[in-house]
Amino acid sequence: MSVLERLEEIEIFKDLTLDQRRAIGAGCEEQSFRGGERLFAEGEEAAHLWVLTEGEVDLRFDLPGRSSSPQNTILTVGRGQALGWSSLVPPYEYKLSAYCAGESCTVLRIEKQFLLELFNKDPVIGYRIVRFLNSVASLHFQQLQGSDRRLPPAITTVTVHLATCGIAAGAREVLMALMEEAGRVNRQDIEVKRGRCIGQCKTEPNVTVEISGEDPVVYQKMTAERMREVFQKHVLDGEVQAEYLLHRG
Amino acid sequence: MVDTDILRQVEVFQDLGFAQLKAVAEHCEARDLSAGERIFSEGDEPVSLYAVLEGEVVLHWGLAPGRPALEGRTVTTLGKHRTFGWSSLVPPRKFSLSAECAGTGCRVIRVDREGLLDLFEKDPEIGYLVMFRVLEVVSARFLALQEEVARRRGSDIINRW
Repeated sequence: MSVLERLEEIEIFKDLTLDQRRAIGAGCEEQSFRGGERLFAEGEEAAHLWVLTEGEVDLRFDLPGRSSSPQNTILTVGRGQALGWSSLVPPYEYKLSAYCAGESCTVLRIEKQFLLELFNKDPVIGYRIVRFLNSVASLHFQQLQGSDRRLPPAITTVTVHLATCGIAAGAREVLMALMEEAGRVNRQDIEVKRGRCIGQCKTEPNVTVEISGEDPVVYQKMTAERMREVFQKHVLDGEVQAEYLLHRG
Repeated sequence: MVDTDILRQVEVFQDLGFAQLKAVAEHCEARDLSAGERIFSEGDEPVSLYAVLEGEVVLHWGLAPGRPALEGRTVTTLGKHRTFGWSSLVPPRKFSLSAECAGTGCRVIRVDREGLLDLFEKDPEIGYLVMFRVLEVVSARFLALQEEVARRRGSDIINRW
């Protein structure tokens, strides 16, 4: 797959035109890492923005003078996610350490200087990307805050399956609706997750609701509206919505 | 409406030109607050971005409802021209910290989030210049939170000895 084709699938670039993605693609460098390898360390000079194209990466907050541990992971990010927003802001140092999770991962790396020049030439690209990076930084902030609250284990997990097929079918809008609903009720026992393809591409976007002590429920052909309905009626009130059910258990 | 000369000193608007500042100013209003007054609470749905004009604002978190700010964990204290309430511009649009007027009183600017976001769409250069500075604000807040978390975790380790 070419870099341009990869960029088309990545959330941060979704609002850009083909020409704008071409311009970004000219500055991308692909790299692969093995499981456990470090992409960058907290405190290192941040010179690149990173976009994960395959696999998963753990972001860890390691305490000074202590060795890194998976227990310090505050967030695991998956395919299509961006890392390294701190490359664009003072003091230009990575705020967390990034480790390849699983067997391997592949990333696109973009030099910050290249990006800044591009943003100055075309502020539309700059606005779209910086707006997205603000939401990434916000998510990292919330995860760090959550990691310190010693939350009770999540009792309900809602997973939006965000593979390429799911995204093409509208899974991103489903996830946004879910995040809004979850944010509104602010319940610490409900966890929102992004998941992989479950091999049911014809029924995408798929969403799995897992409530402790009950069989997982997989919903099919979800929309933002259906997601809000499932959240209210199933996640909050416990009533499985048979109309959108793919399977149970 | 807030004067453009004042607005250009606000950290997130410092890169804007006169015409751009005028467009932003239409969505701004100044407000006086008394000491200890709560501006917003963690978990609230935001409708405005804020900047300090006079006095100081304290940001804190993990505070029980109705308790005074000093009993919460202070993340940072902001002085003149500093910005807060960035969650108004970023999903999931929920304040991640609480804000209160510190000292003897303060004056803040409130910027309507809907008006500002519409303006960004109409003029992406304004959007870029402001959101770039907002990223710096989020970054600074992240660092302050990291220090607080490290301090607490360090205390926990020491307390377990």
